[in-house]
Amino acid sequence: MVKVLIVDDSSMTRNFHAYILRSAGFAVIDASDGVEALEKLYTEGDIACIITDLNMPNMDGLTFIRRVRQEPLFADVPIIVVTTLDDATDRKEGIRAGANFYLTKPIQPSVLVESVRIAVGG
Amino acid sequence: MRFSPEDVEILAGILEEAPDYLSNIEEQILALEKGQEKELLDSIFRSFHSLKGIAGFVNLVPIVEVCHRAEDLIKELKSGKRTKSPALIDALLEAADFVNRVLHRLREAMAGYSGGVLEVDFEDLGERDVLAKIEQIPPEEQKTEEAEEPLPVIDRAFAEETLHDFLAELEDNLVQAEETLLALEHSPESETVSTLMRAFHSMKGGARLVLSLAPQETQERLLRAIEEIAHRLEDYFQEIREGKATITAEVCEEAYRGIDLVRELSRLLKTGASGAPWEAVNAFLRPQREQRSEEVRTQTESGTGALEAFGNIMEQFLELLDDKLCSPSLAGEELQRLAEVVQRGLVRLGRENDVPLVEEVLKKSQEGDTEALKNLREQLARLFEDIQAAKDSACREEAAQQTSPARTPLQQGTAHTVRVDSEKLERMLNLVGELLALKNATRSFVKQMERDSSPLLPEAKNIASGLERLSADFQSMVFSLRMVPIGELFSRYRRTVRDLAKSLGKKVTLLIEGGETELDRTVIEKLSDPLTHLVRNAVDHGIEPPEEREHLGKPPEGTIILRAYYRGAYTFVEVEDDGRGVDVQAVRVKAVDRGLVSSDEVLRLSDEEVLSFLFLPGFSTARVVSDVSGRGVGMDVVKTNIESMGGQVGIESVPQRGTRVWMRIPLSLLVVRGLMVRIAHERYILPLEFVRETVKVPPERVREYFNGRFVEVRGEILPLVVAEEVLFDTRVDLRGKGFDFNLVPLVVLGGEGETCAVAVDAFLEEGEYLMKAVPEYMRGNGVVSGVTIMGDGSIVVILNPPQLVQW
Repeated sequence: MVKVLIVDDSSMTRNFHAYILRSAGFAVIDASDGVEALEKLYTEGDIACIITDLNMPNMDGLTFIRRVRQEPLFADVPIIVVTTLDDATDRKEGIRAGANFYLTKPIQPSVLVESVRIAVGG
Repeated sequence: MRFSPEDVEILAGILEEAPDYLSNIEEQILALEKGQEKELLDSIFRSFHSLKGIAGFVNLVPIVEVCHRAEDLIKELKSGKRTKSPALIDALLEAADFVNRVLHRLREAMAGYSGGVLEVDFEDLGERDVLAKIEQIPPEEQKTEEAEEPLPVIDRAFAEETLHDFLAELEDNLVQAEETLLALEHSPESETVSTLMRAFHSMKGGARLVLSLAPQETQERLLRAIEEIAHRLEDYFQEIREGKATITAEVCEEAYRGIDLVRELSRLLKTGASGAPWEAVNAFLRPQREQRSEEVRTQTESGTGALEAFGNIMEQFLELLDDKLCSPSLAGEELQRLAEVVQRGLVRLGRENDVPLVEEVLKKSQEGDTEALKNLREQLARLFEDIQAAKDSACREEAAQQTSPARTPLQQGTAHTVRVDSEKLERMLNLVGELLALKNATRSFVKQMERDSSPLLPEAKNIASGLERLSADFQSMVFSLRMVPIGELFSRYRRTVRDLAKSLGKKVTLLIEGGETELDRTVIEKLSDPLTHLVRNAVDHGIEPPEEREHLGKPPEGTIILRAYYRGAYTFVEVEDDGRGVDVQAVRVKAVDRGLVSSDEVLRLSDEEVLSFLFLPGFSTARVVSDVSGRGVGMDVVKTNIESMGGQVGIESVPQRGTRVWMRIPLSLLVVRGLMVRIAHERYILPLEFVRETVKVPPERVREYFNGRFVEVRGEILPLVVAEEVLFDTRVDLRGKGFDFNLVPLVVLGGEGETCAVAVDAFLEEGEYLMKAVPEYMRGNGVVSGVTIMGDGSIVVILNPPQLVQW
């Protein structure tokens, strides 16, 4: 199964996105901030796609993305940033930091699933 | 069907869990026959859904299929595609029966299971009949209007759950926002503004998420309002963070108003009550409403997944390309990363032929060939339009077809904190009680073996000590689950203090000390009212107006401290203020006025004793009854609540310096180490914390003097109380009692400087007992502090020694 890492400080959002992706046949791992997410990246291995929020305590999304990209091991893992309609600057920052593209909340379940499918390819 | 050994393990789990879902289903289906409430449908749906889910783990096809069909029936019933009919009710009942039959067959098979592959035959259980019965339900007249099936992947049960999560999270966010706002008023720091923004941001995001699940109409309106208010507040503080605006009292006021509105709306969402403050909401949102409504509408429009997902990516790609055209010096990595995804998307949509176009873009961008790049951008844009057009038509098709993709069983997300039903905690606590009873029984059993010099003693001791260790660990674990840091409760008063101080024209800071001190949930609940009274009192009567304070040489801003700490076997919770203090002389006068003491006596009482009058019902020295406090209710509530937990209250006050009210609460209300005794054929428990020693004395050593009895224990003359006399209000002749060896068993109770001997009939055992509170009327004037339930189900009273001996 294709493993997806969901990083979000809202447990509801995590559970919700996880539920959708699991229903679509993905394996889902989640983390509530950047620090935990990095930990999961190293410990879980073979994560095929990362979906991350930007606004988080401890380590925010931008820092997290930069850290992921610095690590050669994860340089090619697709990263999808989840933002709201109103943070136009944030999402550009996200892309600049190393994300592949962003999704705007609220995300239609089918769009979330398809975006991940596109991101992981095949 | 064949099941592997791993499957068998799961099957055991299924057998354990399934009855939970089946237990009520029959009744509910029968209830459905009488009336069709939405909750009923939801509940039946959930049961079938859950059964299907767990059966799916081991591919228990018969259950999965039948439940799936039953689920569909309920869904159609809910959407109005079907109406209720006897045939339908029958079919549902049959389905439930069938599941029961399968489980029964499984249980039989498992009983004889001895490892290896398990073979079970379900063929003869009538699956086909059940399915046929469902098929054959006479179709209702086809409803012409299209049934609404909001989002294919989501079922209502999940939407409800999400709403529930949202409300819980919203509450947390509101508390945080409020706290942060209070902090902000004092010291505007950018970090605080960010935290505040994040809180509002989360509220907004959560509301939107729930909105995307197509909630019911009434819910939708409430959610929309929450979303807009949170959005508005987020904007406010964003501007402040960006330096476009400054924090003013008005902004804070506005934010409080918003928080209160959201809280009210959330309450309505939770309870389903009507009467939302729409006028206030509208007034709050008016300036922004017009511009926002447009935005929201376009957001909630639905679309088809793959195309829309690709559209989103493509748009970003084009945008980035534009940026690149404007400033060619931009790094190429971003474009590269997006391009990869765009290519994959094209492949996914079956447009492999267009992949080279993207390659070309990357190449030209690297070469810095702006002209070619412009050209390519146009081509891409046209391609995108093409795809968009295809999407629109696909949308229409999809709407016509109403397809619904296959479901997979719901799996629980790995949450980092789990919200546990408090009822479950309560049940765990009962288990602790049973474990303790078992431990006590084992202990006395081992003692018996010791007396009999049983050869099995060493082994028995081992087992007993293992059990003891385990139950101690389990007990502390369960108790720790029930422990909550008091800080959460304390910080609720920030708002109380702020609002109250403002309305009284005072300046007050609330300081919290020892917020990390953990107390049992039930204790925290019981502390809430007392603290409210004490905090209000402190602001209203304690802290002086700023001018008066300055006149006295105090800082104009008063301080109230909420403090918690452990000391010995107690938790102390204190409310301290640096206000004017209580006028002890006024209390003396009032006590005499009220006829509580004579004017002679009152002068002999210490200040502390006098102040304790304040805890009597209806006793207030406030000269003016304000709407805040001073009606003389409150302080007695403090005393009653604390004493009901076996605690004590006290008050200290220094004129002009301030007042401190302390509440002393036993650390563990739950487990009592006690000595079980027999009194008049009944068992009773005396808490060990009061027991100094136990002795047996000949009846001759008991002397009567006037109406009292005294006993000599090791040369010390102690007052003697015969427990039976106090409990049953009789007169007992100790000589005629017929004690073992004609010796009177005495429990010497000691506490607070006083010592007293209590005569009982016999000592039984020493152990730990889980104390259950008893209602007021059963407390027998406070002689009873609670009860414990023994392993055999019998109930034993736990006595309250201070009342027993009437100290």
